[in-house]
Amino acid sequence: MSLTLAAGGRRRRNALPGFGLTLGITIFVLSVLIVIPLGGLVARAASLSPSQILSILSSPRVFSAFRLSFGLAFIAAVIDGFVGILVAWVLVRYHFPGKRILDSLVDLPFALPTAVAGITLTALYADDGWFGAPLAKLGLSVAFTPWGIFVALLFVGLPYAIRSCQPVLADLEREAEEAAVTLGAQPAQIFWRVILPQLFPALLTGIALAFARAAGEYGSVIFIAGNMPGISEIVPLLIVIRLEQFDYAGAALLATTMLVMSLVILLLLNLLSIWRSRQYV
Amino acid sequence: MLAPYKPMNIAIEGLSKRFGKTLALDNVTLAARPGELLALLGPSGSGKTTLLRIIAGLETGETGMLTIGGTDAMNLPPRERGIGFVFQSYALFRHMTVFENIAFGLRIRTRSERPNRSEIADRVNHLLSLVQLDGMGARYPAQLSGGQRQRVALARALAVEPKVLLLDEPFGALDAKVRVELRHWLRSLHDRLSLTTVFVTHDQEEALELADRVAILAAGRIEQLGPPREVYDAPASPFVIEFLGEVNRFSCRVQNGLARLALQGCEPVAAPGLPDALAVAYVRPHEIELVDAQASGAATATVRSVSVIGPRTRIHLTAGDQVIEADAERSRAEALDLSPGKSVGLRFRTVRIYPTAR
Repeated sequence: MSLTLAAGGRRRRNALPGFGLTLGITIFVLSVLIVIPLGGLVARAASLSPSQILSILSSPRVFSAFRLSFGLAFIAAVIDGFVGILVAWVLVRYHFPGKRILDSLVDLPFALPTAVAGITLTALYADDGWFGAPLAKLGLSVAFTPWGIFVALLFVGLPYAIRSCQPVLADLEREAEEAAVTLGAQPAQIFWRVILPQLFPALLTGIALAFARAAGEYGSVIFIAGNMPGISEIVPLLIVIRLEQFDYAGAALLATTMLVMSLVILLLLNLLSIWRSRQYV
Repeated sequence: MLAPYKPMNIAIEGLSKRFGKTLALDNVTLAARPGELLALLGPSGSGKTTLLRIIAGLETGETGMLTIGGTDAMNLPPRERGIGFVFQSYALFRHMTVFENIAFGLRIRTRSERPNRSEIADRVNHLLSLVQLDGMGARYPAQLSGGQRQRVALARALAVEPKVLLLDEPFGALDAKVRVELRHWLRSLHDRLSLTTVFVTHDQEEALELADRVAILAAGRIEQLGPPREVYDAPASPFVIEFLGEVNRFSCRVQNGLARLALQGCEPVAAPGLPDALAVAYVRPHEIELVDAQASGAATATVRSVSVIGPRTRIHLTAGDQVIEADAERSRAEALDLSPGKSVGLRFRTVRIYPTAR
């Protein structure tokens, strides 16, 4: 008590000391690792004149790369979200031999070096690969087309969706489902009206994380994409190409544009989640 | 508006249920009469909740027969049984408002059976006022107290006009004061609706106060079924008397229709119809009369401590190795001037004797 008074009578002593020190380190680390590099990036991009910016961004090659990167990432993330619910459901609700192994398998796309994933997927989906050959017979080429990019993005995003939904599903009150049954609900009605609404925030988080990962994915995509300008060329690859041509400002502009678009999309997803969950929490 | 309920009966015959190796229900036969409030009372693990969940169809019975309102329900899915079920944990849909929770059972019906919007709104509002939650329809369950949530759960179950109402420990998650209030309220609601209701509880006071009849379960069997007064006054077995409140247990020996309790100075007690053998005798604390130590025919005991509990006095006594609890009016206890170490006489107003289980 006397210590508190000596310190000015206002500040409460925390049980764990060191607020000042830890906050200092936090701010330092965040500055060095995030704020300063991003600031540099934006500054570099800003060295271009508005007309230069406009001409770079409106070139057909750049425009189609953006459409490809963000469009495929978004579709892949949404599909990952729903597949993620299904996998999480199986892992949470059923007990079967080998469940632990299956559960740890989910994390493999997290851990696998992206180049390894890229080569594996390319070998599988090439026109003479295990999956690629039968698909080619049906007239669908996956490797070296936008479909290949899509497969790679599905692959890298899936664990995010599964891991977001899994704990929420595990926490769901089984009795709410039983109550719905006694009130006359069919299984599909229970899923759409009782389970899915409660999973929604976790689903959105999973989709957002899968999207963020997929939009910036480079390693696994460049192996399988074929990288044809205007058709299967992703934005991160365009950035690399500009760097190789020593066009640093152009690369920074593309990077900044990606950054802004990603932030806006993540912000929208978060707002949607807050809006949905504020209704009943 | 709610249609008046047509009271339905529930009949269970020879129902057995196994979980792995344990027998949760052992050849249970039980019937709930139309319009009655039946309590399933028992300690945890006695099978009472399993029985209720089998009636609801949330567990499947292994063998036996179940009819609800005369229809064979054993092979019906829960949604076709016409039951309303209320869970101890309320099990409300937390992402829906109170109104939507209550309307749920109506909204999910197929188009041909679904009431129109204004009929649904009318019925929900009527139920809201029935459970005394007028004007709370727009709230979410998280914004309600425990007692309010349980009433929403009840309204939600009533909305689909069930043939019977099943309540699983409906007051279990509430604090003592709310529990008693809600108990009285539920009894008066039941009297108005006369909807056949089965509720599960482990609280003997709750069962005795609320129910028309009480079924006492132990280890998957029904030990006794009867009105509260009957099970309290004439417990069918040592288990029942031990479960229905506090009781003193004495060992005794029956000979020629007389039971001798292992207590110094205690007169033999009539035990008609019991075989000559060792037996157990039970005396409830309030059935013990404290008298002077020298009184004739009174067992002697020594006072160990005296606690005053509101209007009553609880006296802890010993007689040899036997511990005895007795209740007395405060005035009586004060007149005897009880203090630790003092000898007193005990007279038993009622003694219940059971043969020892073999």
